This record gives sequence, C-alpha cells and structure tokens, in this order.
Amino acid sequence: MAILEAKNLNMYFGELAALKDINLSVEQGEILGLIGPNGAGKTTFFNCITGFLKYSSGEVFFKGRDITGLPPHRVCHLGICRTFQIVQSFHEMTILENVMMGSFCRYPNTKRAMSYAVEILEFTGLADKSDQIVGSLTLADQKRIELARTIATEPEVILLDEVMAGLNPTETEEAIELIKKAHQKGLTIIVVEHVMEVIMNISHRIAVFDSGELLVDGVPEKIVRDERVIQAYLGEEYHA
Amino acid sequence: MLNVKGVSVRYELIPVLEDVSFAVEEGQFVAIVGANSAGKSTILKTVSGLVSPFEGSIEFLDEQIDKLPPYEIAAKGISHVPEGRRIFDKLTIRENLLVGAHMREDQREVEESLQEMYSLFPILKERESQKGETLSGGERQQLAIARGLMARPRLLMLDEPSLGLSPILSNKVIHTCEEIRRKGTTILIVEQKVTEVLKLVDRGYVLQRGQIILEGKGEELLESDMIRKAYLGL
Repeated sequence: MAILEAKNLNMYFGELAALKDINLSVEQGEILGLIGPNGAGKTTFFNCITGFLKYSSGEVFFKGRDITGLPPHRVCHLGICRTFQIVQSFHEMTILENVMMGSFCRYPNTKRAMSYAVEILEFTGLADKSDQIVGSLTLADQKRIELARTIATEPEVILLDEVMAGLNPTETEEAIELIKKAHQKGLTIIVVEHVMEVIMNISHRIAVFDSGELLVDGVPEKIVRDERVIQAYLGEEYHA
Repeated sequence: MLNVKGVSVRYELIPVLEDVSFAVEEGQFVAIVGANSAGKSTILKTVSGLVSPFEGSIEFLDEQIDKLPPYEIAAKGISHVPEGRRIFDKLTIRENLLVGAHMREDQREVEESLQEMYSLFPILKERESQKGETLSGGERQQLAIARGLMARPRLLMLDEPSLGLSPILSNKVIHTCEEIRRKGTTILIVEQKVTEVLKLVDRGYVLQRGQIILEGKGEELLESDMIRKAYLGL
C-alpha cells in the first residue's frame, strides 16, 4: 500500500499553474527520485504535501488517512518531514540546538530531546561539531544539519530538497551513504536532486516533472533513456 | 589584474585562510576548487571586502583594495555573485537586474545589457515582471548571476554558479562563463563541478584547510593523482 499518495493535485499562483493534476504515490520503504527542469514544480509539490502551501484542489493521503489541508506542524507530527532547498537554520544557535528543534517534536522534555539530538548527530556524522554556531558553517554543512533536524523528528517519510547541492564528488559519496543509512532505518524517502549520479544511485523509481506536470515515472534505467526527459532535462550528452 | 599576497583570515580566533597568495591576469578564467570548509568562499568575500584580512594585501589593477569597503571595491569593477542566491524578493526580476547596473556610468547601454541577459537566460525574460519571491531555486540562481553581469565588471567572481541547476542548465552556465570571458571579462570561479570547470579554465588553485596546496593549468590539475583521489573519488 502507498504510504503517501497525492491525487489530482493542482496548485495555481494567480494564473500560473505550478502543479497540474498531479497523481503520484510512494510505497512504504521506497526511495523516489523527483527530477525536472528548474521551475517545474518540484519544491511546490513538497510545499503542498507538507502543508506549507494550500493547494488549489486535490487530496493528499498518508497511510490511507486524508491529510488534505493540515498545517505543517500537524503533518510533521503525523510523520512526514522535509528539508528546505534554501536552508532554514536557526543561524544564531548551535548545531545541537538546531537538531533539538526537530527532536522536541517527539520529546517535549529538554533532557530527552537533547539526548536524542546527540544520537542523531552521531548518526549524521556531525557530533564533533555539535557546539558550533550554525551561521558560521558552509552551505553544505548547513544542508547536512537540515537533514539531521528532519530525521530528529522521527518521521516515517522524509522529503529532501537538494540536500546534496554544493558537494564535491567525494562529499557526494558520503552523503549518498548517509541517505542509504537513513533508508535502512526504515524511512521512506522522496528526494529532489539535480546531481544525476545521486538520483541514479539511490532511487528505486524516478518521477519527472515538467512545467507543473508529471511527465513520466519509472525505474531509473527507463527514465534516463526517455527521449522527453533527455530533451527537457538531461541534455544531449545523455544520449547513449 | 588581481594580486592576492600572503592573505590570512580568521573568524574570531579560528584561522580560515593562511598565507594565501595567487594572481589573476586580465582576461583569464581562473578556478578555486577544494572541499567544503576549505575557505573558497572566504577568498571571494575577502577580495570583495566583505571580510577583512588579518594579514596580507590584495591589489586590483595595481591599487591596494584590502582596506576599502565593499561598495568602493564594487565600483572599481569587481562583481561578486555569492553562494545562496541572495536576490531581492520584493523587487521584480527586471528591477533586480537593474540593481546590478546602478553604478554604471553608461546608463544608456543598460537596456542593451538587459536584453543580453534575457537571451542568456530566457526564463528571466518570461518572468520579467514577476517578484523575486515567486522564482524557483534554480531561477533565482540564474537571476543572481545575471545581476552580477549587469554591472559589466572587469572581474566577475562567481561562487558555485551551477548550484541547484538542472544538468542542462548547469552545463550551460559553466559554458556561458567561457563565453563571458571570451567577450573580455576576467572570471574567478569557485565551483564543485570540478571536472567540468577544470576543463575550461586557464588556471586552477586547490585549497585545503585554508591553504593553497596545488596550482596549475586546469587540464594539468585534472591529471593530478591528488585531485583525482581527493575530489573526484576516482
């Protein structure tokens, strides 16, 4: 059964249709890659699922329950959490405190929230920097903290919006391992990423958005050979 | 054109750059590569005056600039497109672009530059009258680069211009840099797409923990075992 399902999702900004009749579901334990040209509606889709935007029409179901119109904090409590493409850290706070903002979602007691946050910092390889102020860190580190804060909410589904942008090839390898580790914990993952090595490496299935529409979805091998995807997104060099 | 001599930078007490020296000649395309936290963005910020060096000096067109405020450095012809797409959300795309040109003396030619930017990044033309806040992440990135170019700088400094762009667009942006250079603008770029960028640049510098540990022609660096192991995962 699908853990998360969007049915006939439409989102208009004034006259502009940012999402057109999107039907897309993700199975429990699946890693779904979401790709498409800049401005195709990928982040808008995340915003709609997680309650950051009120979509114009359509429905979203989580484990069979209708979560249409729920505000972000309720969606997060239910078990769906996301990262932000433009990082939304608390700049004046330490890494540990930022991650505690996530763990407070499950552990209202400060001590327990802290000990769970420390556990997540170890899991994400940030433990040795935990007392650094986030504002002083590089963008790549801040993205890792976003991922840590998201996992700290103990979600069942995570939506990752370009968490690997700005990493060099070696750092990308490390990030892929981290996402695989999160998946092994039992998480279902939807990942928006432009780095094709990442998408191809971790996705069980890939969905392609173009101009607000779901162009195609399928296994990675099929997607990279799809003529429409090559034209709209990948470019000629992907022609085998 | 740009001479960075023995520059050290500290954030509070933490050393970020140590005795960094390099030069960019007029008309060159130069890259700085290295791991995250190596200090690459700090180099650009130090050149543009956003960060003050603790030691060393920076000369631009034979004039010392390291004590000048950022707006005076910008007026001398250095344009800095920082990482993170900092555009003006409440201004339209056109207004954002015009902000980039506000210090130009040849205001009559500004319209011409706008059209150049629109042909370079067609999506900006389409969205011309929309507010910055309505743009997607990748569109913001294109706007930030175009705004930097609107100043018609002598030296354009780009901090990870391909970040968050689709494969087609990211390739296009890196190759556009080559085109911009051919038209006479000197470019200093920080980029994580190491293979793509080193193929194009005249010279590359490898930064590790705040120090330049290797330098050479782009193609030579690509051949280096150290680069291949440390940055390309080969």
